[in-house]
Amino acid sequence: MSLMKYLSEKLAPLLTAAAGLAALCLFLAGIGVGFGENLLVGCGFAAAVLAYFTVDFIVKKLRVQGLSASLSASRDSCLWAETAEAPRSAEALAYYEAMKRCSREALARELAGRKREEEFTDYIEKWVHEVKTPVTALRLIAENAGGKIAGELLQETDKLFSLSEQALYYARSEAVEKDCFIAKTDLGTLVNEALLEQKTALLAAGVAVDAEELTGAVYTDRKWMRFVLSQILSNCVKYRRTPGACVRFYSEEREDGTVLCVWDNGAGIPAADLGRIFEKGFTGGDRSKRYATGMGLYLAKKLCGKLNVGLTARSEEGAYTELRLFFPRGAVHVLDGETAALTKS
Amino acid sequence: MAKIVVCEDDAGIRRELLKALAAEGYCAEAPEEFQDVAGEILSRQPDLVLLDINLPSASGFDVLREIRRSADVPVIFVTSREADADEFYGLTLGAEDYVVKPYSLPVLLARVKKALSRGAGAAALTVHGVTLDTAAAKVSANGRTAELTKNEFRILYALMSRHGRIVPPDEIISEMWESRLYVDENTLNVNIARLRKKLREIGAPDFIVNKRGMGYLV
Repeated sequence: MSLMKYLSEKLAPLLTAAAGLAALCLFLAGIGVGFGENLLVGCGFAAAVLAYFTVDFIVKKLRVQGLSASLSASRDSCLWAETAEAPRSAEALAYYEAMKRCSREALARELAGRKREEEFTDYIEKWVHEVKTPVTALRLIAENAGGKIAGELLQETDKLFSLSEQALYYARSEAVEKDCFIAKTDLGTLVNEALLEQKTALLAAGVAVDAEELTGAVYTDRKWMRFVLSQILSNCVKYRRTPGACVRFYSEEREDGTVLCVWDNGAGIPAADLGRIFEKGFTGGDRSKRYATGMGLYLAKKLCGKLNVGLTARSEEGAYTELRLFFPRGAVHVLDGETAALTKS
Repeated sequence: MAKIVVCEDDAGIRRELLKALAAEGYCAEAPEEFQDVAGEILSRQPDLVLLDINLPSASGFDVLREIRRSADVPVIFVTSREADADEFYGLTLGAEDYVVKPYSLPVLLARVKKALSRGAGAAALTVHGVTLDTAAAKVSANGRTAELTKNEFRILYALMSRHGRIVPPDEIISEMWESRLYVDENTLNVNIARLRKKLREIGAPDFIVNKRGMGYLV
């Protein structure tokens, strides 16, 4: 609250006071009070008015400052109105009551929205869970039947499953911590599970896989990480360059953690797009004509963020793409090392 | 002939599983009532049980616990629940394996075979006078021995463990991917050619028969 703002608000009472003062002085002069006495009374009046407005300004200014300080200090600003002190003046009180009503209404709506969202997430989870039964049945029917059509059916079934999984992980991605099981996981096993999930697509697309030399272990959630790797692999298939397409897995041990790299010799990413590949819905310029939702890498990045895994990309258009997953060495490793030291001694 | 009981409440999956297991030469049965699953299983005296976790009347975990009170039959959980905690729990209860839906048939069949051979501890496979040493990855016949690469060993193992049946290339490839050998059909063909050369050298030519368009037969 600035002084000018205050003065402009108080213009009417100030003018009234000034008019009153002028009238008083004229009246006193009219009844023959001397100039000196008149001046004294005038100054006294003006001083009283000035004192009142000064104190009023300071009090109001402090109150406004306190208000914004308590608002920015409150942990949940949506709930601040509930804890704010009620004002004394009738006008402010009316505003205060109105604000409280608004904020209660907004809170109620927000809670209802959150509940709807939770119910929807639950529903998606149930749906994806249920859809696995017909997908499994479809797979079995195709595999029992055999032949060329069965192979094509299997490929489509895998796509169907992969898309439903994507929906599941998208629905869950807000609450990763609810469903997280961090354990020491062998990189070979982790990559193997993702490769098995994408096996049909990789083989059908003629993408050679080189992951046999992979060693090392990281602490992570197997299920989430498998999903991330599966999304990356599905991109390797989509943006392959045949013939001779291949994808290679390798790891680097670093002082501060382990890096798992997924390298492919596919179309690569134009330098201008490299910064945007993790954006939601980004499918790139001419990439958009292919089968792409723009969700795969976005979800992969988001889930990696929640699992404290760094996901970055390097690429050269027309040459290669390399996605790097960095698993930082955490407290678990230290603990593990200590246990090892203890057992040794 | 090994007897396998399938506990699965989805009629479609049940029918297809029974079909696939029968084609593989197993005697497969499936209860269609789920009031007393453990009782149904025990009364059939199976060699292996494929057990779903979400069954209409009881959870597969409870069923397994009940079975374990009187029988040590191997049990494979087949489920759409994929939480690691569930898998861990299932295995601590004494399940042999845990397969998540949607699985591929060759994978499931390989797990079934593995579970059935539990305890048998076959260190060597012998078919038509050719012996595969599974510990040392060597093949021998007529007193002569050849060393095998990882790929060649896996291929020969896949064929010999299914001897008498034509094995489609897809099935061999599936089994190899499970063992982290990521071969495609070309690599498979190259490896089979090398394998046949080695077999010829130890005096077992035509051990692997190529059935054009269908697969390989040992």
